[in-house]
Amino acid sequence: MRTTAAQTIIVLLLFCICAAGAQLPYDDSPAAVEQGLRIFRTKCARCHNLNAQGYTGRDLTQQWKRKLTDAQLATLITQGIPGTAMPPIKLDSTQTAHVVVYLRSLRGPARVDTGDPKKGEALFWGKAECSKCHMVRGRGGRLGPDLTQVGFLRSKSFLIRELRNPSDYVPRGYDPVMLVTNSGERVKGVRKNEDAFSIQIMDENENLRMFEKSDLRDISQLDQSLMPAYDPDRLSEAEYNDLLRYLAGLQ
Amino acid sequence: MKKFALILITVQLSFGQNITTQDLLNGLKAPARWLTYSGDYSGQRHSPLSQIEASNVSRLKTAWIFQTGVAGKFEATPLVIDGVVYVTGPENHAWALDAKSGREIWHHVDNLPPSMDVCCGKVNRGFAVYRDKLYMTTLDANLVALDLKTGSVVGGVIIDDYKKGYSATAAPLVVKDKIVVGIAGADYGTRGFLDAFDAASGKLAWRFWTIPKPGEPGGDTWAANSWERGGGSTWLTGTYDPELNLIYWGTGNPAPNLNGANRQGDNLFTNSLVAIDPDSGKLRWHYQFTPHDTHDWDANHIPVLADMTVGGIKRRLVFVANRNGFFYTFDRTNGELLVAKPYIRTSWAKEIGRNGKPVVLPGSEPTEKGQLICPDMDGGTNWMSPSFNPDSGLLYVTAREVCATYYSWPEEYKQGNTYWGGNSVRPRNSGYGALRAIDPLTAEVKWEFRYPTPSMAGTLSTAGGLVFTGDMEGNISAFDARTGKNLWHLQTGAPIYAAPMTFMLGDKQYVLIAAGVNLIALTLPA
Repeated sequence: MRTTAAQTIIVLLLFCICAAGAQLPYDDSPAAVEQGLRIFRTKCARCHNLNAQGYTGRDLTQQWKRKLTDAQLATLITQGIPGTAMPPIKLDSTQTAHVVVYLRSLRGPARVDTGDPKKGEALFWGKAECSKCHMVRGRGGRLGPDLTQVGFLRSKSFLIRELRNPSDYVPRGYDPVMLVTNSGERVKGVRKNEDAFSIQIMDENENLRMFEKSDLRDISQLDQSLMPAYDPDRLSEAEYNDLLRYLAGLQ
Repeated sequence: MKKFALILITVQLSFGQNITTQDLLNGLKAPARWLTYSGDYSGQRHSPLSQIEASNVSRLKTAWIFQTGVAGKFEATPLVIDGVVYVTGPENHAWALDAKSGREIWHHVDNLPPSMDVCCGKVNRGFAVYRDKLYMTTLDANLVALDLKTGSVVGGVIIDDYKKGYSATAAPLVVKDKIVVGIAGADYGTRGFLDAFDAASGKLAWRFWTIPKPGEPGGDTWAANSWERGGGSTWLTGTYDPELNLIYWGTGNPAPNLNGANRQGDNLFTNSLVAIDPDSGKLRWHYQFTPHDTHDWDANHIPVLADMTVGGIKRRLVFVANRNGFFYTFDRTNGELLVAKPYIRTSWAKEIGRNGKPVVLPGSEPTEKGQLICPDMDGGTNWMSPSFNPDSGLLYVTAREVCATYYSWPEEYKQGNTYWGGNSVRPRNSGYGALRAIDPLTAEVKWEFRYPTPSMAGTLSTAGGLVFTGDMEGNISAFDARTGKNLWHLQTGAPIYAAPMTFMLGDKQYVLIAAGVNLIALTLPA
């Protein structure tokens, strides 16, 4: 029986050690984030852009396809991604920790304490009409990004900005375009891809449409996102907070 | 067809195991060969081959694909000698391939030091060839000689110490009995130079420092001891005029790239075109495109040499579409500036003044809070090869129309670390690229073809009246040289960072271009 207790203690200790290893023991104070930015702008910004929104390298403020722990992210930075253009970046463990902290500051999770998430959910699927364009857990529209994990992937400030000024930042794959075909048909949609000879979009009716540019008379990038701005005319302050709380809970 | 077959037989009588000085001077006159980075010493990258031309290029098909299996930007121009393709790749890999089938004959890879920081990708732009050896620069700043037939290392010299931040990526240029080699490293605060090694002994014949010491000509254009980390890299292959006996080479940015506070002065000879005597390494003339630069506007471009009639007189010219957004044409005998006009939208200078210096506008320096300036750091064009068609009289340039918000901050020098003093933000969706046909006598853009994002691929001009190039979305294209009409394209699936080249194999013309991690060969159907 004493052995079992000892074993339990050992197992618990090991668990704690392993759990601690999954997250870097770091300080995420503003000073640490600032240090991370200084390293980022020297070592990373050439490819990922000074605002981390991507250039030849990926947009690091975008939703990542893989969920990475801090330790995995640190390894990725210092060892690079074999088979891609991401090289190993020479940094010591403190520097790496600072960069990880900085990158995390660009993203989620969103921490929201005010507002009623149930009311927010009702707004999402009702009055605010978010579900017309966005999916959550397989239900909803396809014109905008899937929001199933948006509360995990995006910070509170990002969510606020997107709701108020969606045209400020449009993720790749959702740039609004207006096409006019040679026969005069006007097609509005979001651009999935484009090269010098072809363009692939999803139109407002959620149809994937592919065009050869030789069949188009005009292609215009639109200034305004297809997402409406949720200003005080659309949602009251209380409704806004409820919606925000609901979105933050989508983890 | 018969004409080409006859020439081929004649050439094959002097078998290609020994490339002589005369062979290099002959340039692209031997149809089955491409013996130097830019095709020949002029840098025109204009092939006399015309089997593929406007009426048949739409039938161009893939002959073969060689997959390197090596990730990274594939920036090389292959050499072709009598049925064998010689190409370098990222991370100092290199291959010899059968030109008919694309099958590998040999593969070489350099052993690079495990921890090595280089700017801008572990790239290499190609071999030089002389006698029975291939010459390649390496990322740890060596010059390596490989046996043509086996790829074995048969010689090597250290150019300089990679731990100081030096690196080398350019294809060397063989001039007479010397291997001329450029260096990289200005992003790490190195002091730049151009080296010439004696081909037979491997000994250094001369070194031209692009950054002069105090007391030397140009030495008074650097405050205090900022010259010691002055930059001025020579990381792209130059060109050569055998009659004038001059080498033309571009020099790169001063360091720190975006912060000029501690290096007051024009910072000679950074961001310049230099004309050098290949026998002595002495500077004959220079022109500085962007004095005291704080935008990273390296002038590492191919200096294109052409003879054209200007005001009724035949003149020996050199032209450069510069990173700073201006197009320049000079008399290459003495550096007299004949044309200097923008070929893209610029915001930093009103014009190039009569004294040859830019008239700089206010609000065109990076600041701590950020300043919007056109063009961005990668510039109006970059290292990618332009090409010149003497029949159309046009230079085909891969141009970029991108602005950026430039930031600067204080930077402390630390050996082996980047020494930029700033960076920039480019808006993701604004800006575009274009293939532009420019008249070098007026800097006028005669036609353009727009790309949705800026291309980093070079161009190839042919006597078939075509311009071949690639783009960032992966298309290889052929354009009508006079009208700019796109006559053919192939979507290869990955960004293209190299320039195309072409050669005859038997009675068929091939075009080769590196695309993604592949080397793709194109030809007409049988």
